[in-house]
Amino acid sequence: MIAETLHLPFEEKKQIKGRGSTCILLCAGVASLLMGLVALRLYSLDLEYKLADIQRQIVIREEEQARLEKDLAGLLNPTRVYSYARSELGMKASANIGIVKVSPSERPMMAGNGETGAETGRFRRALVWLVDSVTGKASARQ
Amino acid sequence: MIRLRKSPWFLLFFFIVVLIFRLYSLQMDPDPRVRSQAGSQYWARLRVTTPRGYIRDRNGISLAISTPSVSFFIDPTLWEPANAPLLQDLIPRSRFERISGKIDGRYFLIARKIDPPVSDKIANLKLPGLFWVKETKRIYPQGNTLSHVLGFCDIDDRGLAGSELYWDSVLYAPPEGRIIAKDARGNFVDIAIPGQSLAVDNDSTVQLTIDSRLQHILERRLREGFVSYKAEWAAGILLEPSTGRILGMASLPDFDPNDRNTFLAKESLRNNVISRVFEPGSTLKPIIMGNLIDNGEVSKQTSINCQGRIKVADVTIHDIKSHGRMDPSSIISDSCNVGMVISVRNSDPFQTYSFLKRCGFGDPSGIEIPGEESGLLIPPSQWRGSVPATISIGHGIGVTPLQLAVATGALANGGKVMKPYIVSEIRSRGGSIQYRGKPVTVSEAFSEKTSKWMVEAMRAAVEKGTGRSAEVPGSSVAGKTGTAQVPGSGGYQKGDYTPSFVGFWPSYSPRYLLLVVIGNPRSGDFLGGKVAAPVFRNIVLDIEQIS
Repeated sequence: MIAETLHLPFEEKKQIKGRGSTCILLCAGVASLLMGLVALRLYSLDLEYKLADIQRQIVIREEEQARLEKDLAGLLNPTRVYSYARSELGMKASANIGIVKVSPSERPMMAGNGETGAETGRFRRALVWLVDSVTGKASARQ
Repeated sequence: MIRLRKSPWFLLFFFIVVLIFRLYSLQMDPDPRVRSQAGSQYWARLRVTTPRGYIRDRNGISLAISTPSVSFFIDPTLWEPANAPLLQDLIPRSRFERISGKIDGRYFLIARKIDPPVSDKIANLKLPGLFWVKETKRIYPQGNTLSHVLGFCDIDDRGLAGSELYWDSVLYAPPEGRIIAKDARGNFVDIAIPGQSLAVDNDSTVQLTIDSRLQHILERRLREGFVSYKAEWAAGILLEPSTGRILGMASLPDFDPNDRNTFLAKESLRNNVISRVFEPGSTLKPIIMGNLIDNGEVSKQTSINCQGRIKVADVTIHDIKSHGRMDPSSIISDSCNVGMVISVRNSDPFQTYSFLKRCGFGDPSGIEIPGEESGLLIPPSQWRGSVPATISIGHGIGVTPLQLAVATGALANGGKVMKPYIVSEIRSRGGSIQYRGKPVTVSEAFSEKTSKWMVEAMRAAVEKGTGRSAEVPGSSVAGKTGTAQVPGSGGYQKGDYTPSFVGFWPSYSPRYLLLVVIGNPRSGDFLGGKVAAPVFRNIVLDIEQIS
């Protein structure tokens, strides 16, 4: 028996064709959506890698900061400063030290505050005399 | 009927639908076995050590910090003993010998907390079976300086002594568990998860009242005296008498918290400033005399005849010489024992006991470091015979250097006993202030008038009395010497003394108070005026140059 091919009227053919295209378009749309989600997921993974890399750099910098802070604390150690001054710079603590305390009212005014040169010279001579009498050393005079 | 089922487009459509459905079910609702397998491959929970907080001085200089370090271990199943020689010079010898042979198990620690560059050298060898983990290591950049106050930690960064122990709850942060993702190669990817902080740090801080520069001066000069007088121990404390704030605290012998071998030296771990109880000797006289003047038992015009010795109960108390007629000021400046004994003969023991308690003797002060002793002050009901007399000259009572400094500070500041404190501020992780040290008046020990008068008497002691060696021209030092005998079983030990000097300056408005105690000098000299006073003077000179 010969199979009969159904010949549809033109309008029906057109209708079926239309429905098929719609289904395909729909599937394509859904597929695109899903692929878009996948793409977003890959993008987020990429961002996470970058974040991890930045995090590693932060950790490295923090470790470096801790090391620098340790070095700084060591450099600021007064014992180190003292022994460096003695051994490298050859500085010595003076065996004969006198302390002169000047009250605020007797302190010389800074330049530009209206004090005359004569007043400065008189005060300076008085201060030198005071230092001499305390230390007994002419070397205190400059 | 349309044979749609035979249409190729329908088949394609059907295929896509099935695909979508399958994708959805695989992604959104996977099999529990798959979920579990993926989880173990993809996620890992790591233990991340957290650095310990900082300890700083009053100027912000770090005294104790945590620095990065690396700990190495091997997996014996992956390790090749033939590679051991490559690590011979880099790891402890005992560990090297072990890894040169067969080891059981899956884990063997070979080196803990190694600093760069050694850790970098080991890591760069990239030996199979060798793994490492990052940790932190506690470092004290200033070495021996302030070692007793700072203390030290154990290998796991838990405090064991000093401020590290006292403030361990602030400084220590337990290791954190972090959820880490792994990629296909097994590399860790640190993923930000809500609720999990990205940074693993610890900015908690204990800020001390100590000034590193003053501490260095105190330690250096005290060590000079300790060595030159061949002492068994020494203690020095520098504080502000008006506030009780401690600016320096030194104890010898000391140790280096970075080197555990230094812990083994005898008595090196003991903080003599708060843990050593000794008889103060004549340094207690100004305090006792102040009480007598406030009680009216003695006045400035009181005249006492010193004949060089006096018998009290079954004890004879001696002076270096017969001082003759003395007033209270000269009793202090010349440190006359007989004068003090006569002055207290009518004192009420209960009142004296209560006064000494107000001054802080017999109780811990509550300073913010552990190991403080209370001292020894026997109840007045047991003050029989010569006890009141001996207490007046600083024997029969045990005090710590800190207690003596605080009580003398009351004389310097107008009569108030101030609670000593060594911590100015505590900031917890995140920066919030958890504690702030501030001046606290514990009690009123003297009237202002009496304290002023005692300051003059102590100034006279330095100007023309037993404390002349402590005089610093221009600084107006006021102070008192002390030379106490050392008690032993059955009496005092012959030849053992504890010379000391306590002073403050400038006397008219004291800014600093300093106590120097030299324990059992063996160089020949033992008097406070000859041993402790010169050390005091040198410290004052150095401080004045930088103040």
